[in-house]
This record gives sequence, structure tokens and C-alpha cells, in this order.
Amino acid sequence: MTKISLKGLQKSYGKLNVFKDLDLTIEDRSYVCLIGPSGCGKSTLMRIIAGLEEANSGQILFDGDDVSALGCADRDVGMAFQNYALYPHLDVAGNLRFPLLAPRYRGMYSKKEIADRVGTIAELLEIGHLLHRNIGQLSGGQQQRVSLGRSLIRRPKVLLLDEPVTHLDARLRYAMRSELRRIHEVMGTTTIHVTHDQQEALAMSDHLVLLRNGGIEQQGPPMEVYSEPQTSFTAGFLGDPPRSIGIVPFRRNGGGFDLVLGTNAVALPAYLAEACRGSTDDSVTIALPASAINLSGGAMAPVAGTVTAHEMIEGAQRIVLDVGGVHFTTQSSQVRPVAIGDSLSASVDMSRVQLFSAKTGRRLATEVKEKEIS
Amino acid sequence: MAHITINNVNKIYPDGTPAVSNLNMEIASGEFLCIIGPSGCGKSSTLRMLAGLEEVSSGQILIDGEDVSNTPARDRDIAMVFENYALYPHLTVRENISMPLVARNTPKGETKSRVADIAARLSIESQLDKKPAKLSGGQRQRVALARAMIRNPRMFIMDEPLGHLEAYLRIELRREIRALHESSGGTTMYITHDQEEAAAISDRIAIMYDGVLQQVGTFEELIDHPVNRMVAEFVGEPPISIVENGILTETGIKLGEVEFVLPVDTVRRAKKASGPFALGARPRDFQIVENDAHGLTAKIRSVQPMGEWAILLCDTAVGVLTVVSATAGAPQVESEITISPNFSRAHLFAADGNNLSVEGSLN
Amino acid sequence: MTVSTAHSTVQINVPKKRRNSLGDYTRYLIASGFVGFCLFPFYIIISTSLKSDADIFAWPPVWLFEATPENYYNALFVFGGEGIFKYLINSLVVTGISTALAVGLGAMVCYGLTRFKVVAGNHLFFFILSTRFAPPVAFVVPLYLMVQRTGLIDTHLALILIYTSMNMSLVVWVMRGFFEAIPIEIEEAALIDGYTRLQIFRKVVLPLVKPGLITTSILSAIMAWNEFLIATVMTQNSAATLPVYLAGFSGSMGLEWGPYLAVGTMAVAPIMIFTLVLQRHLVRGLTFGAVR
Repeated sequence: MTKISLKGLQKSYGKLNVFKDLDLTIEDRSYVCLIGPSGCGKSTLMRIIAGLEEANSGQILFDGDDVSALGCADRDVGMAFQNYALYPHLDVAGNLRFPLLAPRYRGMYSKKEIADRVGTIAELLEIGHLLHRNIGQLSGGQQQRVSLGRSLIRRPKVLLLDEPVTHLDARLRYAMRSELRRIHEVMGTTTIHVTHDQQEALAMSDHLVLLRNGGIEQQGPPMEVYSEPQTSFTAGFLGDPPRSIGIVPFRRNGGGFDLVLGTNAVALPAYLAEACRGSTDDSVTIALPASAINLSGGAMAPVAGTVTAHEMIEGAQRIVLDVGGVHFTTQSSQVRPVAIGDSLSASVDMSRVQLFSAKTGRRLATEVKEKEIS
Repeated sequence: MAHITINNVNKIYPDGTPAVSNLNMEIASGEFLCIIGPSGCGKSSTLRMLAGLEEVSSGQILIDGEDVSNTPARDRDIAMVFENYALYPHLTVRENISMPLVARNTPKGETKSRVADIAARLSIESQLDKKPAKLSGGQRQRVALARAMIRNPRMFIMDEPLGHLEAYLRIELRREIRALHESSGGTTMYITHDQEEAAAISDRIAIMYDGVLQQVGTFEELIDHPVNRMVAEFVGEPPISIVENGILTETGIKLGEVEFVLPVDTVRRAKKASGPFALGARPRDFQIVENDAHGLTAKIRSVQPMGEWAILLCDTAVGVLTVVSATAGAPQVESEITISPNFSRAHLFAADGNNLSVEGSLN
Repeated sequence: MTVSTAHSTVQINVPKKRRNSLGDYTRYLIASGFVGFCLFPFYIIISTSLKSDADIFAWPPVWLFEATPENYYNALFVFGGEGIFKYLINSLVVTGISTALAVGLGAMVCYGLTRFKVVAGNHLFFFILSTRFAPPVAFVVPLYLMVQRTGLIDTHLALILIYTSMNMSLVVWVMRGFFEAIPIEIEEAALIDGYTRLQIFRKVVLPLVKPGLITTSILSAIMAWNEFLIATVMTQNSAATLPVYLAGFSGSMGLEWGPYLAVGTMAVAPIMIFTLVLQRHLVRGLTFGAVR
């Protein structure tokens, strides 16, 4: 129910600079996922929005009002901590009630309303049968749900979730993901969800923000960020499995360009060659999804490599091939008997290749591609 | 290379709650076994009993045929790797790794060369003279692994060693652990909550629930032939879609208004079991068929694209089902489709959870 | 039971569940003996104080007897000239108030130093602790001068002030570990839930450090109750505490065992009861499991 704007946010811990000049807008009622490698600042950012930490400079606006000077309680946010932070001396019902009993809200909630809210939230999160248990007797999953319930019970304007489903087993995790989206739809709370699980972020967010080293690497609707990464970092961060990333040499070949993949020279499609035309480097960063590499051969560009790893996952086998120093991950439902060190050949669908500058990591693309593909 | 036999082991906590009930398991020499299960299922207790950190309430544990119930942990020739590394903070990496050898009075020259060797295998030679505080999480875990491996123990026990690491590091390290296992061959018992990791790294997986061992097998066996509903629901991402309250017919099952044919053997077993029956099909085992073809009509509630494939939540007359399809060409939200489970891969569960589609599950 | 392995048949003994062995019984016996040995003097004191004179001197000793409160009446109002009643009350007042203040104020000081960034915070902690390094006798003369100049000689207030300050340093030192053990996320969660710092201290932090509060209460109470040197210097008659009065008792009236032991019982009883009541609330590991 609140639009959040961060302008020029700067934060450092002593010499360690976390953010230099961060700008971010979170639309009203949106579900935003902040992802990034550890140390990128996502948790710090969330704590600054919550009011637990102060930025060194910059503005934090809720619906246009600067809240930088306000304490946590005045900002009307709810937060579910990564390590739950439940009150050990209270039982589950006590934990859920606690926010409503704060002296500043005295008189705002009648006893009946408090009981009703506790009941509703408990039912929503399937912890109704645990209301009188002590925190120490709960499993990790149950504690996580109590923590969520506590953050929601005041129906705050902004909901901050710090890795809310990470410690749950798969079934509960998927169920909670649906629950969180459903709660979001019902309550309309602006939600910021921090996670390191990029699959979770892709599945859940309206808007994905990828942070790196205190800056926004890329943001946008999740599928857009996935399909059109603007940097090699983004290309290699999202996806299951993530794209294979590596630096390969390339050279001119007549009017076009060839990529040197191991012992094979593979011609670049015309639109990609366009993108490389102005480049003075002799190598480029390539990103390729696993589905673009076919081990069964095919009419596409051939490559050959050595197996460096192989593993089985649900319904598929992953084989990592070392092609000229670059590790390509392939995935196939057909299981092949392989051992580390075997030589395998594959074919690459060059239309799925994405190129990035080997120096800056920026995407090399031209408008031509958009027109050709669509 | 230890061959482990667990015979009727029970573990009961002082307050009476059973942590592990009637556990029977055999781990072949040199095997890599993962134990998975929801929190509180008894996997940690089992591991700790094997290591000697906890006492067995009844039953016995045999390592290479020898009953080790009265052998203290340090004499069982087991190396452990913990989730939180447990490195000595005041010692350098080299000293940390040497510690097990020093404790056994190994000659200095031999210690030095073995430390160098193992450091090279785990790519931490450049860290040897640093203290743990200066290392990253991944490096610390490698040091912990090196310290465990340096004794060449007959058994490794690892309790969520990669739990605290980042996604890409987990993938990298699990491949390294697997490669190291393949070259050194020690029997390994490994706990993880990450199924993909379990599938990728182990020879077999044991799944426990509420202290009871449910099934032991390869990941494919658990996915394709789960013995009961608990296993089917726990293993695999996204989790299996279950349609409740199916009514048994002469040739198959009726879900809502739609009748489906089931394999003959399944129906035969179902007739001897008691309902209500539930049908489970993995999200990848649904086909989207023509709108008037035989199947369940569904309305797409949400489409969650996850890169190359997408999760569809489908509202059907018999419940919300999760279906996986390729992102390219996925149906739109609110559109109506018809889905049909692939019955050669679906599972019929009796009221008690037993999988009637699998031979031998109490039938 | 035999199990066949690939190479040979192995005979295995299935170990039975461990029953109490002879070793366990011996251990219980020795432990009980030791406990009995420690508690026996208390039994003697309390039982003798309830006996009439005749029973006290009976030989062989009388185990079953009729309890009489005569010795207690004697102890309270007659013993040593005036009876210990007044001094018992003085001790109770001084100990009770100084303990409450020491623990209450000390906890707040410690919390502030632990949670908030105070200039030279660690040094302050050490300084507070260092006030306990020197034996009290080193402070007696300056304290006496301060007490005398402020006209507080022979008042309860003097002892309360001194005992509070002496015990506060102990409280601050002991409570630090307890406050540090509380994960800060719990307090942050309360901040977000809408509580002020002071409310968080009262409603979240204090319940979680109950073991520490109880421990320091018991320690402070014992110290204040038994304290002799400062009490004897600062008080004369009206505010004298029990140890002072008992020390002054010359014993010229002959050894009246009955009243004497009644005095002993009453001198020890309040603290014992206090400790026994409080220690029931020493619940360990309250925060265990609340934060991963």
C-alpha cells in the first residue's frame, strides 16, 4: 500500500562502502525480490528501509514522505527475520499478539480483535494447532511461519521478508511461496523479499532487482531480466541451471566473425557479428543456456570437449564439458554413461548465444536481433 | 572402506520422545549415502549415533562386522565434517589440517607431505599459512574437508557441510566432494536438506520421516517408485501434484467426473487396500492435451516462469495441481486447458499412504 | 545371533539395555552420604533450637520430641540483653532494599553498556569491576568520613547506599554475559513491532535474563546480609545489623544452647528461604532454539 523510493542512498561501515549512490523505486502493491550474491548489500538495504540501520546520506521516501528520520515503529513496516527472532519467553500466540500489544497502540485493538487476528493468521499459516506451544518446541518450518505471522498481524504498509522460506523443505517451501503470493494478493501490501535463491525470485516477483557490490546490476520483470541480461554477471546468475559463461577468443572470418570454441571455429549469426563489429578485443564473453547444447548431435554448430563433471538430477543428467577452457553445462533427459575425462561432442544452437564484452561485461547486442527474432 | 550395518536401532530421548525407531540399514563399503527428510526426522540422530556422539537406546551398529556400541567416537576411525566447519580459530590452516595427525604422533616429515598433498587436491595451498578468520566460507569448508580426509579414515560423516554456502559454491563444492570420494573411496554418510545436492552427490539416498526409515534407493528410484506418499511428496521439485478422494472403478480411478484407466496390477492391489485413494503425478508428467480430449479441465491460476521452464498452477475440479511446461508456448493466465497425467508414471496411494503402483509395498 | 557376511559367519552379542549396575548404587550411596554429612549440622541446629532445655541435654539424644517456641521467644526479645528482633528487622530492611536497588540499577547500567555504543565502554566495564578488587577494609576510613560528614552515621540509608554500590559492580559484571547472549534480532523485531527501547528492556530483555537476575540477587543478598566490617563501623545502635549485634554479644551469660541456636537459625533462615524460593525460577537456556 505504499510506494517506496530510495534516492542517492549511501552507506558505509567504516572503510567498507556498501552503497555509493543507490536509486530504487518500488511501486505500490508490488512484490519485489532483491537477489544477489552474499555481500551485495541486499540485507543492509532492507534494514535501512526498515529503519534498523541509518544510511549515511540519501532519501528514503514512503509515498513521497521522507521517513529517514523516523524510527522503525513509525514507519509501519513488518519484518520477518532470517533467523526468525521469535520471543522465547512467549508461546506462539504470545508472539503473534506481541505487536498488537505495544503501548503505542494502546486502545487501538480490542481484545476480541486481537484474538480474531491471531486466529486468522494462524489458520492462514497452518499453525492454529501450535498456538500454545513454546518456541523451543517448534521445528524450523513452524518457527518460520510464526515469524511470518508476527510480521503480518499488524497489516503493515510494507512487508520485508528476509529469506523467509530458505530453511524449509521443498514441499513446504513451494506451499509457502504460493501462500506468500496469495497473502500478497489479498492484503495488497508492498512486499520486499530478499533471497539468494534466484529460482525463488524468478517465481515470485513482479519486479526483480539484482544487486551486486552495492549497486543495481539489473532490474525489471523477472522473465525480462532472465531473457535479456544486460551483463554477463546477470546472465550467469539466473536460471536453473544457470547459463554457461566463459571467455572465448573470436576472430574475423571474411565478412563475419567466428568464435573459437575449443578446437572448433563456429560462425556467429549475422546480428551477433554486427554487435562485435566495433570491438577491438580479441575475445568475448559468451553465455549459453543448457538447453542450447545438444549432446545428441544435430545440424547446428559442432563443438567437442572433455567431461569434467556429471551428475543426475530429477529426470535429467547434467554433464559439464570443458571446451577450450570454458565449462559448458548441458542437461538432457537421456542418460549417458560417462566418466570424468571422456571426450564428447555436442552441437550448439548459436541463435541462443548471448555475447558480452570480455572487459566490461556489458551485453553486446544490436537492434537487428530484436527485429530478426520477433 | 567401512561396511556399515545398522540393526534395529532405536533412539529415545530422556523425555520419552522417539528420535529413531527400528532403523535397519546397510551401507556398502565405499558407498556414498545421503540421508534426507524433514527437520526432526531423525537423520542427525542417526548420524551422531554412527559417529559415537550419541548413545544408542537399543539395537546395534556394526562397522566392518564389529559392534561399536561401546567404542568411543575417537576410536571408530570416523572423520566428521560439520555445517559450521568447527575449525580451530587460533591455528593456521596448516595446523588445523595437521591436527588429526599430530594427535596420533605422526612423524613430522610425513605430516608435512600429507598436508601438502591434501591441500593441493582441495586447492587451498595458498591458504596454508592463514588463520580461518581470513578465509571465505567456501575455503573454510575445504579446510574442514582436508582435515577430515587427511587421516584416510574408513568412514566420513558429513552433516550439511555446504549448508551455509552460496548456491554456486554449493554446486562447485559438491562436485569436488564427489570427485574426491570417487578417488579416495571412503564410505560416506551425508546429510543435506538440498535434494538436488543429494541427487547429484550420492550413490543412494535414504529418506526418513518421524524417526522411521521410509525408503533407500537411488534418486531415480525415489522419484519413479516411491513406496509411499510421504516419499513421493518429499522428493522432487516442484513437489508432486496429488488429487485426493479418487474413487476406485473396475479399470481404474475416477477423479471428480473423469474416469481414467490404471495399469491392471495397480487396480488389483487397490482392490485389496482401503480408500479413499489419492492419485499423484509429478508436475513434469502432465501433458497438455487438446481441449476436448480425455483429461481434467483446468483453468490456469498462475504462470511462474523460471527461465527455460515454467510452473503452472492449474485450478481443476479436483484441486489445484502443479504442472511444469516449457516457458516458450506456455498457456496464458486464466486460459482453460485440459491436462492428463502420464499414467505409466503416476502413483496411486491408498488411505494409509502406501503406493499401490509399486510392486512389493506390502501387497 | 549370527549374521553372515561375505567372508565368514560372525557371532554377535546383542547388548541388553543397561540396567543400574553395582557401580551406580555405590555412587548413589556415597553421594547421599555426603549430602547427609553437609546437612546434618543444619538439622542439629534447627532441631536443638526447638527443644526444651531438658531435651537438649538428654543423653542418649532425643530424636522425637515436642517442639517448643520458648527458645525463639527468648532469642527475639531476651537474648544478649534485648533480643535480636530489632537487629533482625534492620538486616532485613538493609539487605532487601540494597539488593533490589543493586540488581535493578545494575541491570540497567549493564544493558546500556552492552547494547549501546558508549565511549570507552569496555574500559568502563573494567573500571566497574575493579572496584571489587580491593578488600573492603581499604575503603572503610574514607567511607566513614563521608558517612559522618553527611550525618548518616547509624542510619539504614548509609548501609543501603554502600551495599548497593558494592553489589552493583558485581551485578554489572555478571549480567554482561546474560545480556550479550540475547540475539540482537529479538530486540530489533520488538523495535519493528512498535516498542520503545525502555519497553523492550522491560518486556523482552528482562524476562530473558531472569537466570542472571536471580543469580545476582542471591549473591547480593548474601553479601549484604553477612557483611560485618562496614556495618560495624557505620552503625552503633539503632541501625545495627544482625552480624554487628551478634559480634558484640559477650556471652557472659553462659552458654544457653537453646536460644543460642535459635538465634543461629534465624540468622541463617531468611537467606536460605530467599535462595530456595528463587532458585526454582532459575530456568536455563530460555533463549535456546528461538534463533537459529
